[in-house]
Amino acid sequence: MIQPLRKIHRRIFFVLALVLPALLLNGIVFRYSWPTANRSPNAAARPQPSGATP
Amino acid sequence: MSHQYHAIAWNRRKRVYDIVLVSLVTLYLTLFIGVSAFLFPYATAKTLTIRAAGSAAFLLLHIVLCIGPLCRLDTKFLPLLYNRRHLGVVTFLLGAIHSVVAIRQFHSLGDKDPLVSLLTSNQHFGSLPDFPFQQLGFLALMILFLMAATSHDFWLRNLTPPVWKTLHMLVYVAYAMLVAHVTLGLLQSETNPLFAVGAGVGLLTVITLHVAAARREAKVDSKKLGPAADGLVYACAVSKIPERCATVVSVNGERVAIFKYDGKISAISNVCRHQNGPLGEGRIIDGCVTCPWHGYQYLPQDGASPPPFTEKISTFQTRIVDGRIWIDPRPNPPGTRVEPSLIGDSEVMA
Repeated sequence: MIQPLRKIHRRIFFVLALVLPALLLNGIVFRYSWPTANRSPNAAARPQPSGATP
Repeated sequence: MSHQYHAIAWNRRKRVYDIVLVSLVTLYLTLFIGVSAFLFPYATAKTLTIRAAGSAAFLLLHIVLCIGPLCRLDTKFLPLLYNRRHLGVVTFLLGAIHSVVAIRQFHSLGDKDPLVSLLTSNQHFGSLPDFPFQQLGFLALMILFLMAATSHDFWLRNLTPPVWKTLHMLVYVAYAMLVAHVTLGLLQSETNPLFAVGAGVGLLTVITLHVAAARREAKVDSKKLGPAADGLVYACAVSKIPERCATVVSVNGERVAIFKYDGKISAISNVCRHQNGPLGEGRIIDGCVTCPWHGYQYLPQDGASPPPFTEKISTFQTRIVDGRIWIDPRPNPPGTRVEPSLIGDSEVMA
C-alpha cells in the first residue's frame, strides 16, 4: 500500500525540484524593476520639465 | 489512540504542543507588526495584517513540509510530527486571515462581488510580471481548507487511508501555487533582495530535505534479501536487532518490521494502519509494538491492536537458524496469529 504513495511522492518532488526554482528565478529575472542602490541625484544634470519621462 | 471520535482527543503532549505553537505564532505576529509599523509608518493596519498573516502562513507551511523528511532523517524530530495536524490547521487559519483582509482591502470597494472581482479582475495569464497571482493564492487556500477540514481520524477512517493520504498530498500542489503566488506577487513589487533570498532559501530547504529523505528510503527499498530456501528468504542476523526494537527489511517491495523481544522474534508489516507510520522505528512498550508517530499499538504475535481497538496489520512467518532470521515473503491476512520464533540462549545474549 505504501510503495505506490512513496513513488508518487518521489515523482512530485522531482517535478517540483525542477519547476519551482525555475519559476522563482524567472519571476525575479522578468520583473519590471530591479533592486538598485540609492544614488545621489546628479546636480550637474539639467532639470527636466514637469511631466517629462526620464 | 482512541476507539471513539472526539473533536480533539486532548492529552498533555497535545496541550503543550499547542501552547508552544500559539505562543510562537503570537510572538511572530506581534514582532512582525511592531517592527513593520516602526520601519514603514505609512503602512495601514490592514496592510500590516495582510503581510504578517501571509508571511506567518507561508513560513508555517515550510515548517510543516520539513517535519516529515526531518523525521525520516533523524528520529529526534518525532515530537514535532506528533501534532502536525494542528500546525496545518493554524497554517490554514493564518492564510484565511491574510486572504479575507486582502479581499476586503483590494476587492470590496468596486461594484462587483469581491470574490468575482478577485477571480476576474486580472486576466493577464500570458505575462509573468502581471500574472494574476491572487487567484493562485485563493486556489491554494481552498486546498488548505480541504486538508484542514479533513484533518481528523473520522475522515481518515471514512475516506480510507489511501484516499485520505492522496487528498493530503495535494499540499504539494498548494505549496507550488503559494511559491508562485509569492514570486509573482510580493517579489514583483518588493525589490529588496532579502525577500527573494528568503523565498529561495525556504524553497531550497524543503526540496533538499525531501530529496535527502527519499534517497535514504530508496536505499532501504533497494536492499535485496538473501537467497530463498524452503520458500523463506534470509532477512538479517538476530544479533543485529536491539532488544524491544526492530530492523526493517524490504520484501516484495513492501517493508516488514522484525521485532526482537523477551527471547522471541516476530515479523509484522511496517505500515501503521493509522497514517502509514513506520512501525519498525517504534519500540515494544507494555508488550505492544508502538508506532513512533501517534502511539498506535499492535501485538507482535498477531498484528492486532489490543481490545477495544480494532486495527489489524499483516504478519509474517519467521524461522531462526544459527542466529539468522529467515522470513516467508508472503504476508498473512491482517490479524493472523503467528507463533514467535524462539531465540537460543546464546543469541538472546547477543
